[in-house]
Amino acid sequence: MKKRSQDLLARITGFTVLLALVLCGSASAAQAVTLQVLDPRAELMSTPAAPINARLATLEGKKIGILNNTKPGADYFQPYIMQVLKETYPKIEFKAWNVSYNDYPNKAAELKALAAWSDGVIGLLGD
Amino acid sequence: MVTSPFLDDSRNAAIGAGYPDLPIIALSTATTAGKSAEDLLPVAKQVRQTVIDALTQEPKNKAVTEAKPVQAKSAAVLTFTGKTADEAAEKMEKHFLANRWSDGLPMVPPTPEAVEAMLKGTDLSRDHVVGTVDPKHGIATVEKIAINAVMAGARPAYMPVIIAAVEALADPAFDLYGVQVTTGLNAPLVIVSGPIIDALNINFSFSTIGPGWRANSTIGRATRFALINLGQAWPGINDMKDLGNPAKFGIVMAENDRQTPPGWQTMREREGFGKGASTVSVYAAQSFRQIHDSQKYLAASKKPEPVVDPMIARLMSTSLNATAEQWGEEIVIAFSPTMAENLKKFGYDPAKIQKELFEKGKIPRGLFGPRPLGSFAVTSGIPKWIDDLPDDALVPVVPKPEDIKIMVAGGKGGGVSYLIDRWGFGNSRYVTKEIKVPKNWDALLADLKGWETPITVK
Repeated sequence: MKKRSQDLLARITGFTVLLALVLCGSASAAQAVTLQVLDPRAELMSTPAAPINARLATLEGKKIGILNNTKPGADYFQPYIMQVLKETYPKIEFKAWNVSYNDYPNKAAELKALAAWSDGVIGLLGD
Repeated sequence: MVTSPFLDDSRNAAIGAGYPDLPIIALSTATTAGKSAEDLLPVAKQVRQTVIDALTQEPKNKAVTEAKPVQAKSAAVLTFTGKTADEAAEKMEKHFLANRWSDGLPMVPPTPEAVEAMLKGTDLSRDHVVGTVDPKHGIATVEKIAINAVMAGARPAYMPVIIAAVEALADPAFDLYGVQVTTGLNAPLVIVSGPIIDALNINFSFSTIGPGWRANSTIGRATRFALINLGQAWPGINDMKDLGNPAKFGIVMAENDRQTPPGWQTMREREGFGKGASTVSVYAAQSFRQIHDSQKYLAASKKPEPVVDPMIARLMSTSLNATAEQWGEEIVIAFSPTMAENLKKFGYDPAKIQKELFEKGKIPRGLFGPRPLGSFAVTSGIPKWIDDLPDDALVPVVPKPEDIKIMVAGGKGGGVSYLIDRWGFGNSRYVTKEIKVPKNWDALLADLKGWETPITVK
């Protein structure tokens, strides 16, 4: 009898706790605050994406233009990349164009000459 | 090919230029400049096969290469929920920080209501495009500027200044792409001139460059938010400034008309605007160099032009800083009213100061930079004739005297002024735009009541 009373008490207590939790939850849900803000990021101007040219079958005997962007590091590295490629492909040819990196729009003639001469181009160097 | 820190930067640039498939190869070194064959030959050998593959193998994962036109559209609504308003705001702050949309300081939530109120600061429609902001070519609509102005804590009455500043930043003459992505330690300085300074309670007096005034602080901050969120420049990703610059928080300097010596034109007048106009200028400021009044401190020297002499040293040092790298098109000098008064007393006006600094601030060719100046001199716009001068020939640090921009700003104190040198490794020009106020200007100014900090003028 005592045990049944204890069980009943436990059930009532459990129910009370459960009820309290539900009520608290309802209260919390009722108090939830929603903040709506506007996205600060700009839409980006679309740039038509162009595919890159078909790759070369080999570099042997090809003309590789070097687009030196006039940053100090480009001058330093240019001879070594040419040297190691020449070791692998003795008949490879190089010709360099120094075109200021921040003045490409005004250097169309130089860039066209580079493209016309070259089978492939290596751009040097940031930074 | 790029050095290792510039891989993300270059990828972003290639995508922005419309070549998402362009092979970009990073070297295993942070810099190649000044290194020997012993250092660089192994680096070249390391990347040899990668270079060969890049030229001979099709990209494995071809990016979408179709153009996708983007139209400026209304801002998306973002929702944050919390048990309290503070918690919801904190969630917003954390989200903005995680996405690099913040300057790191607490922000005002750009709610639709706050943005609507901010839009009352202009007659332009919310979808009006003010310009595109580099490096990501963000479309600067009035609405997006307003959202960022709210975040900065600006008042609607500041909008005409903020819009004009964004217009100036987006002007191709400013070379914002270079300013944003460079390793050079610059940040746009916003300079306001004209009657709007009084109207908006912009501090033009003591510590004009500094905190304490809502207009100065939030107009500057709003322009920085525009650079972050419209231009989408992120440190270490596509903003490669090694150390940054305190001015990257966004700072405003205001011209002190009231204490400009009689007979001296204002900055806006020398830039071609009327005295009654209000203007905002942007300048790719790099270093703020103090000029002392040597009349006071070095009076015993009794030099003929004791006030100008220390400026000459400062001016010369801008070119000695990095072997000709700083040979820029412009230098800004902001005189305190006291120094301006002293200069006038010695018979100077801005034109005479410009001429004298130009003539006396030349440096010997031998100190100017390496010979030949090399390909990077082309980048800095250094003319070939400088390269051909003998070592003892003198080189001017700006192309012509008018490129020394002179204004009076700050408080009338000890006569301490600034020479502000410019980011030199590019083609950024000082750009000025007129500020246009909307029809409801009086109502906007009425809203400023209570938002003012007293300005001390002595």
